[in-house]
Amino acid sequence: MTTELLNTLYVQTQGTELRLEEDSLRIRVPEQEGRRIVPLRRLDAIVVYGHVTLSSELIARCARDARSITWMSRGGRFEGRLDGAVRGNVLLRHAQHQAHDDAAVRIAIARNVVAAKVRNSRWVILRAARDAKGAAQGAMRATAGELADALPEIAVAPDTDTLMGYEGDAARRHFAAVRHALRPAEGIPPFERRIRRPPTDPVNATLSFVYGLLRGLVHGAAEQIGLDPYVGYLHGIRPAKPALVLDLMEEFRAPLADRLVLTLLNRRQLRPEHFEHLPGGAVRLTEDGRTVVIQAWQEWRQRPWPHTLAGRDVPAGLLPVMQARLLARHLRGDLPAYLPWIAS
Amino acid sequence: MATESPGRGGEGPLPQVPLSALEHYAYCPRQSGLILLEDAFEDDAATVRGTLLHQRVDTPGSRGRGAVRTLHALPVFNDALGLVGVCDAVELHADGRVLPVEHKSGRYLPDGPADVQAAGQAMCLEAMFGRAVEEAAVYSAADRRRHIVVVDQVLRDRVTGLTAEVRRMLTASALPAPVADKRCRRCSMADSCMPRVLADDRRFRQALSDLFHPEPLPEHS
Repeated sequence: MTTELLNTLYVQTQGTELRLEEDSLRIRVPEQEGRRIVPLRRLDAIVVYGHVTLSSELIARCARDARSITWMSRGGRFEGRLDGAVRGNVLLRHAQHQAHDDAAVRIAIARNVVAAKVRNSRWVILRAARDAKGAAQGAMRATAGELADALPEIAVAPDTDTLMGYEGDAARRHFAAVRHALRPAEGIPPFERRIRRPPTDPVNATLSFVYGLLRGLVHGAAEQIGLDPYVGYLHGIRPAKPALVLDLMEEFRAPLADRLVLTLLNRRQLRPEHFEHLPGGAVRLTEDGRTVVIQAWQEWRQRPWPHTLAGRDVPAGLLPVMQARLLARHLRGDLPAYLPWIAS
Repeated sequence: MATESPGRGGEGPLPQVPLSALEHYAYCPRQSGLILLEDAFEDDAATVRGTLLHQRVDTPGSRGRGAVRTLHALPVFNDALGLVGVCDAVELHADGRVLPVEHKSGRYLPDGPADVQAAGQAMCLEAMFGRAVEEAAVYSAADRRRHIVVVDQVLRDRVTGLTAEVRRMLTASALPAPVADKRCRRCSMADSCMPRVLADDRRFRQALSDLFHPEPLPEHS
């Protein structure tokens, strides 16, 4: 199954081969007669899941054209990404490093990042509480109150370790409240808590998969603006971790990823047959399940969201680019702070 | 022959200023800053038209037409001013006149930014050929005609002044402030520039102070 949407080609049928043919991409799907040809000009990005083969010529050509290739595991975990030569905004990257080394600038950005995560988590919980009744509604509103109460402490947190503590607390409260908002199809076990690696239930498997999609989107936005994806503020600098991508993802996790997962499960678009249970307990989406999620994600990316600073609605798919730009303008001294996006 | 690409040091002691930057800077200092300092050049329909048009003229070489020999994509420089660039077309006339012809896809605006670029080319050619170049031309594809620009002292002073300003910007590495006026509507760089966000200081500060103060909980129904 290959899906081409919004100039991104998603390839997730195991064993598919992609080759370069002149200025086009040739796709051979196993056990299917014939082959598809896609003009490369049409594509900005290629995302492959699991066992998909790309020819060397195709990889090199994509690098030259600055067309990204992202490798994901079959379960949708991000594994790696190829980008072409780094472009020349060296002043921005230099400012990004200097800001990381300036404790006052770094903590200010990190506080705003965590505050936005908490604000947007609270917004998602309150929206879900509207549709709930009784004890569930009460529990969700209580969580929203607790999240708001954490904001004054976040505003004056002395260092990033303390902030990471607040961030972890907020995430735990958030997922405990999300439990009340889930009404999945018969046969999908209730969500207990967030389990990352590997997910051992359908809800966690879906969350992990959608976070992978979000991470790809945010990583692309950082690269597009010329930021170094690996130098962050809340997440600092850690080997092989795109810390800036993780920073910018925080404000989007609840409204863009968690809400989509809630919708897919509550509308029964994802059902038990969309998940496979592996020996030893890990759970992941089947190929059909991944197709359901990717198609929903593509529509979701078009959904307009209000953006206070832009003064107009911005499609979800462009929010990360907008925010990467705002961060760049702050780092280059045009704006006095990094102002995250607040869902409304 | 200065073969270095613009902005990476040339033959003279001065940091080199690309001729094209004069036009961008004259239109909007921040636009040229985004291009020169932040390596951001965003294509929109207007710049794509310009690129397609230039592909026709940017094949180096010369084509003779009787009494006029035309050089295409000629690298030019003026070390005294620290200017470098490439002329779309340079006509060498039988009577010894040298005429730079700058190609533009849009309409021609008298005394506009294109005049500065064309005059800068003339001043480079003067230094290279050792003879006076009193006129330059701007060919507008939209008007389908050539407009003659008189390279007088006023225009020369504008070129010298703008060159110094662009050089100052390159040395300081700080972006000029946005203009946030009607120019932004037709600018392909408006997205990365964010003129409205930057100009609306009050809105930004309000949003910043709201960040830690969410709207209160709805009343329990």
